[in-house]
Amino acid sequence: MNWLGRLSLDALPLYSPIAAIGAGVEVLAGLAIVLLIWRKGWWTRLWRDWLTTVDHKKLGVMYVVLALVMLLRGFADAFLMRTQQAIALNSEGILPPDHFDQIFTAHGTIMIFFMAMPFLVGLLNIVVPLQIGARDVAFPRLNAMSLWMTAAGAALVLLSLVLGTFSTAGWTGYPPYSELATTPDTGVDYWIWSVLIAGVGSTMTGINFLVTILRERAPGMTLMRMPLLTWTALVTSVLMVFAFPALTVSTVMLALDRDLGMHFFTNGGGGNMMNYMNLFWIWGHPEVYILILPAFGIFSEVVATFSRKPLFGYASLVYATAAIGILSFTVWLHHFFTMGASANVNAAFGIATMVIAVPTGVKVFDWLFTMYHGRVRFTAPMLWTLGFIVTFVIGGATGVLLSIPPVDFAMHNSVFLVAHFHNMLVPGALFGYLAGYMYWFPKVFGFRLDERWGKRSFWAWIIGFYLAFMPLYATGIMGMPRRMEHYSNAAWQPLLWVAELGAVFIGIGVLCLAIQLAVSIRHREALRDTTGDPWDGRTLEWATASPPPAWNFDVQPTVHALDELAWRKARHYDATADGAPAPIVMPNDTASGVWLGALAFVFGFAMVWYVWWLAALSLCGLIGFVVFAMFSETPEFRVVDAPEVTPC
Amino acid sequence: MARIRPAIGPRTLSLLGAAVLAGCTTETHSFLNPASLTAESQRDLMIWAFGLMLVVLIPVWVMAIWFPWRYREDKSGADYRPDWAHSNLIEAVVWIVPAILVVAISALVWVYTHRLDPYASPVARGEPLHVQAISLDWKWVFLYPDNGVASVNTLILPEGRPVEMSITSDTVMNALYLPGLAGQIYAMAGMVTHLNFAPDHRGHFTGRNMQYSGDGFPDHRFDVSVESAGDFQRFVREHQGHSPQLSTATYRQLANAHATARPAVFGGFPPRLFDQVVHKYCATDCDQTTAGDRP
Repeated sequence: MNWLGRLSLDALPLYSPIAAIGAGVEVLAGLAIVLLIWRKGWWTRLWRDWLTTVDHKKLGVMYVVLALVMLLRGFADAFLMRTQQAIALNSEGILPPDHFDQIFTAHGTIMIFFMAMPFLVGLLNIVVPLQIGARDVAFPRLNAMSLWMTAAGAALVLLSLVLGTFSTAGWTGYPPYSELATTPDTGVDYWIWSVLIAGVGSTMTGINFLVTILRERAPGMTLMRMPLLTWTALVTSVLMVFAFPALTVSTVMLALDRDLGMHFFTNGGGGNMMNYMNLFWIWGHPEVYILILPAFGIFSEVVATFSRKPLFGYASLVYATAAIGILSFTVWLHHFFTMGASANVNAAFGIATMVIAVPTGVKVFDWLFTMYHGRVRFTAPMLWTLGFIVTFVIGGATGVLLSIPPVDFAMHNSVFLVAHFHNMLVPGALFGYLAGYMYWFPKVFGFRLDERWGKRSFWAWIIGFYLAFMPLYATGIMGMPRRMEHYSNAAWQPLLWVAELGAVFIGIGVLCLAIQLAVSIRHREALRDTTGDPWDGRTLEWATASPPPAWNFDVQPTVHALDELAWRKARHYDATADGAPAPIVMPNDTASGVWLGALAFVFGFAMVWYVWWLAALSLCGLIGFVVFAMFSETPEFRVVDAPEVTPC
Repeated sequence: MARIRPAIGPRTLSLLGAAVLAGCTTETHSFLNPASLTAESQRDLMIWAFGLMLVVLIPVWVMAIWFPWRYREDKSGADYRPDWAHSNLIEAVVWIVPAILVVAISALVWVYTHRLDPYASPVARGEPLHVQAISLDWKWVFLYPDNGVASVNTLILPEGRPVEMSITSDTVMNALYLPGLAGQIYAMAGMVTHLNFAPDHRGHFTGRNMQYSGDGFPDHRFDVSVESAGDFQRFVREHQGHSPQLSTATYRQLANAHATARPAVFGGFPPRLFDQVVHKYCATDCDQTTAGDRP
């Protein structure tokens, strides 16, 4: 018996010089961080204050840190791809095919699962409990476990660059290509286990926030007094709870095919690849809205605050959000119009898809009318919002085009599609997260981010976005398929060089983000916010100190209106009317999240490399750990004394 | 079947759109240079739908620039209305106008999805030419069952006659894409999908697999030439029985080689080859290949 499974020296990334360099950079960066922490003697603090915390704000910060690190990796992949395609007209370019194919898979997987998901979950973690006047999420310990499951999945993806290869099957992992017969190496296994483990974390997050928002709201906060971000968080949580199990099931079935020789999706043997596409997209389409709806929530908060007005058409925005949530489950088939479904089926799903354009359009107009008769401040978060509005509608229009089945027959699988979904997810999701990051940063850390570098980042990103993706619409119309490692159509090349230039601009945008953070930390005293409310905010998260105490509010506020803080400011409301300070129930910190994540990582690693004994051991460990945690005598909560209220 | 000429909107829009889009292309790789009614309708449908959507896009762009500029903080004075957050009229307009647009585009979708259904022949007249396509790693085999010829990586079609393609795969899932002629449909092992179209211009095209399938994917393409009916007959006569056969052994070689292949024409092929390939992966009901409700 081979104790290391299929792990051997062949696993090192020597198949491509760029992969070897990437792996080297990754290992060195990891070592440098470990060394820095060691030299500074930060281990104890790191362990006590961060790794074992159950404080939703700190968990949120760690999610966002994970997202920003993975953004760097995902961008590096994107830049390599754009460079390869700019060069590779009738030539090999810089990447061998098997490496290029891993890169487009890693880029998609990382950006969706390990950049966008942690970013939005991190922001929701930071903001939602504060916005609803809660002390914490409903299940603080589960919250920590969700984070460490996500981190375990991300760690597996990062490890795949150093040991073995990543999947070449694209972020959707379509069988039968992703079956063992066609791709026997470790790639698809890495993809399956990283996505599966992170997906379990996301399901738990969905449950947690669903319960938190429904059960933990401050007294007086009715559903129709919830800030719009909380509304989008609620709908997103519902989508997570319903959609992610489909992803878990489809990836488990694919793993069963690969590991136990079953035939769910294989060529022959009774397998049917079409079932995978159905299952995968029953998760995959709602996932698009899981990513976008919270960003809509952020834009709503930002546009209201920086127009010094309540949101226009709040009720419309709520109903539009809910409608999008429901409709998102009715459109998955538009991902495979070209699978041979009948005209009735295709037309019905095409129409269902474009119906979503109506509530989405309503939202766009409501944001515009929020500015109407307002006092618009052009802060960095507001710029991201305006850039989003102008750009997002283009993506919406191309989405409607693709939802017309006969047009889709001509455009499916082309880079037009790639341009479309980047046009949705870059302005529609990422711009929102960046706006949220700059908007709520002072709440978490007590000082604002530098505005100048934030605006520079915005301009570089938006220019880069247009340069990078508008040419792809054109080459897509000209018949260029996605995922081309090289090509022979000279007409595409000039446009692909423009796209490369766009990638350079986006790179500058990423760099500006890093500089912004560094500059702001250096000038933190000048940027200090002592009020807790640096933007003249409208919602409850600005009613507490920055950074907030562990219990968020010294006295839980009573809610009187939508935009509670604006209501309080207008009436010079005395916060002592909320009640007298009382002892507070606080969750105890626990290391169980870290251990669960570590066990899940070991299990995923063992499954990828066929180290069966370790897989069995770690799986037993996972189950045993959860059971042990359930019956643990360690108290989950403690009561702390009433805080001394400082009038503000 | 008629071309798409919706009654709404100026016809010039379509021409303008086509001119703008056509400026982007230099090769016949795309449905911008359609050579069949199907592709032409696909293009026109896209341009019309986009034109309709400008009804929403243009106001959004105008307002997105005008509103923040007009009401910027350092300028706005008396017309600041800090509590204005609702207007029944505006709400009605922003719900109803997009809804009407979507209904209009939906009507186009319903009609043209049925008219341009790849499983239905686009023209009623003429005896259809049957072609069977098999996708392999990373090449295509085309069989002409009525004409007794076969080809690899080259597809020759007669002008002005409906083509009825049956498509399967002897490898992972692929997508047969005929730009400018018919769009694409998936090729899946153990299943048969169909593409119907009628080329109405002579010309050369590049067909390809659009569904990523591994290392050789970028080169998974083939020549398509649409020739006159007479030239097509000459092509059949020239090869039928004269050129070497596509033997079972040759086919197996092609299927097992993970590489592209030079274009070639064969003067015959084993009877029922296509069915054998399908049945290799499928025991029963192999023609019921759809995600939906095909009879």
